[in-house]
Order: sequence, then structure tokens, then C-alpha cells
Amino acid sequence: MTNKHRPQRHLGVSFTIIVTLSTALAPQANAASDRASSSFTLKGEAKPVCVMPAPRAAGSGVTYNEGVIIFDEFLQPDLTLNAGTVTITFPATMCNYNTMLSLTTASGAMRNRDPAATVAGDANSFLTEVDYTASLTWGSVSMPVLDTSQLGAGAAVEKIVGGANVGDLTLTIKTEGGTVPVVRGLYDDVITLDIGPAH
Amino acid sequence: MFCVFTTTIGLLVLLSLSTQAGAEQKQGRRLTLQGIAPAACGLTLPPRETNAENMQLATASPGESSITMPSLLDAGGRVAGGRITIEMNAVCNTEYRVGISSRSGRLVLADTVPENPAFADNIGYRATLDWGAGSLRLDSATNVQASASPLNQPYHGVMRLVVEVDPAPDARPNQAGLYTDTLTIELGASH
Repeated sequence: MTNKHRPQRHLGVSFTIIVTLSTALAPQANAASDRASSSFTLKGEAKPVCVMPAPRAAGSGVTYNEGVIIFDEFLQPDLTLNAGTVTITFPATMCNYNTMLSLTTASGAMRNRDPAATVAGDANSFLTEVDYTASLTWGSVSMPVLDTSQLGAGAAVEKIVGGANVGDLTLTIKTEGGTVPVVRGLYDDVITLDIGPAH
Repeated sequence: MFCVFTTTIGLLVLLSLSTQAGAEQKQGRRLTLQGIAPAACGLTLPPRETNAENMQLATASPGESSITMPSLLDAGGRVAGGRITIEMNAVCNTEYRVGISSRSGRLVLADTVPENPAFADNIGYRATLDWGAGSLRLDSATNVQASASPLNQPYHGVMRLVVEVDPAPDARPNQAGLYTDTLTIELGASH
């Protein structure tokens, strides 16, 4: 039988052995020994990443749509502020490194932007801004409460998480019921929730 | 053998990197909070009597009350007179207008009786409404309705209504019967 009639699988096995021997013998060419070794360093860098899925909202008298939270039952019949609570959950939020959580209020309260929203006489007889609290938990991690009655515009609360973390990221925003009426108009504020490198 | 193993690790690293596409080192969300306070006016407490003489207040609901004179006439059948002060907590969270009006302009007999020139069949009265920003006066002798110019500030406070019926010992005696009128205070957004 000639070589060209041999089964192909035998030809393939022979070729692999030749390559392996060649690799193993090469370092021994100038230093003959009865032992040889070769080491390999394996590397792969895990980049710091965070994944924050789309949120879901819960709360009575509250509408959530694409980042806008509307308190639908803002006032009580006597025009004082209605108590309200809304919870925004980003399920299974994950960061694979030690991050800093921060909550920032742009205006320091929900404010009435209408310049005509003024009060004659006793300024305390009406509300022209609405304070709220925002609390944030991430799995078993909780951060200090952002209380706009104690903070001004641009203020933030921060917390270094302490390590990689995964869990539901839950933001709870509350307004307390009021005792004085609220001047008519649109009240708003922007809360920014950030997870990122500690600075 | 080593070649095969190294290749496998390389594929795992590439696979890991590919699953991170779309994730970022930093994540953030901007959430806008909104609440709308509609323009509105209302009575935050029902009317209450603070001072009265021969008049009594009864309140069926914050928007409906009655004032009764227990002794409308004196012993001679003439108007005995009376006075009452009523306070209401009112609020408007926007520009507002306030007005007061009388349906009949005076107390008139509810029942139709034959006219008799020797007897009176109506009784005049005055009503004064005071609140933080001004005062309105209604008088059966001169005007049966009054309204203030729109006020461009919200209002929150006490409104005080004083209703007075003067005694008329020298006037004609009044016909017997039930005398009534409806006095209406309107408080509303001016736009």
C-alpha cells in the first residue's frame, strides 16, 4: 500500500506530535539537560463596569414616565400639601468595583418657577417651595437621606459603597403633608443619581 | 497541549469583554420631580359665630349656613334689631376676586300676603365683609351687591362677616310671617 492510500486520520496525528516535540525541544538546544520547563503568564483585565437597568416606579397618586415623576395628588382640598411617596427601583443594579453613590438636588426643593408666585404679607402663610426627602438603598447598602429642608441648591449626599455590589437600587422620595396652602403653579426639581468612581 | 489551553483563555477574555459592551464605568439617572398646584379658592374651616346679639348661626355645610333672628320684632311688632359676627378661614392660592351679593336686597316675606300700607313687608339690613386685603359693604338702602377689584396676590386668612339689622321702634309694624334673604359671598380665582 502506498502512502497516498493510508487513512487521513493517521496523517493528522503525526503532524501534531511533530509540532509539540519541536516546541518542547527548542529551549534545550544550547543547554542540554534531563529537565526542561516553560512558564506562561495568563492575563485578562476586568474593566470597572456598572449596569443600571431601566427603572420601575411604585406609589399611589404618582405617575412616572421616562424620568419624570409627577405627584398627581399634590394638594389636599384645603390647598395644603398632600403627603406623597414614590419608589423608583432599578432592579439588579451591578457595579464590579468599589463605587461612590451620590444623590444631588438641582434646586434644593421642588420650586415654583413662576415669578408671579409671590405672597403678600406673611411669607409663611403660603408655600412657594416644597421640600422632600430622598433615600437610597442598594441591596444591603443604604446611604444618608437627602433632606432638602436641610440642604440648598446643588447639594448632594454621597457614600462610598465599600466594594463591588449587586442588588436592587431603590430610591424613595417623600413629601410631608403641609399645614399652610401652596401657591398655585408648577413645582419641580431634578434629582441626579450617580454611581461611579470615588473622587 | 499548552497551545490549546492558551487559545481557550484568550477566547474567554474576549467573550468577557464582549458582554460588557453597553455597560460603563459610571452610571447615572436624572429624575425630574413635578407637582402641580392648581389655582383654587376655598374655605378651610366652616363659618363660626364669634359675637351675636339676637342672631344665631347654624351651619349645614362649609358652603351653606343660616342666620336666624329669634326675636325679629319687638313687643310692638316693630323690628327689634340684631347683629352677628361670623368668621371664616378662607384661602386662595392665586390672584383672586371677592364679592358679596344679596338676592332680594333685603329681608322679604316668604309668603304672599295682601298688601297693607299700615304694615311693612320687608326689613333692611347691612352686611360688611372684611379680610386681610380690604372690606366690602352691602346695604339694603343703597346697594345689594359689591365686589372688590381682583387682587394679584394669594390670600390665606380670616374673613369676617358682620350682619346688622337696625331696630326700628318708630317704624311701621311688620306683617307677620317668615322674612328671608340669601346673602352670598363669592371668592374665586380672577382668571
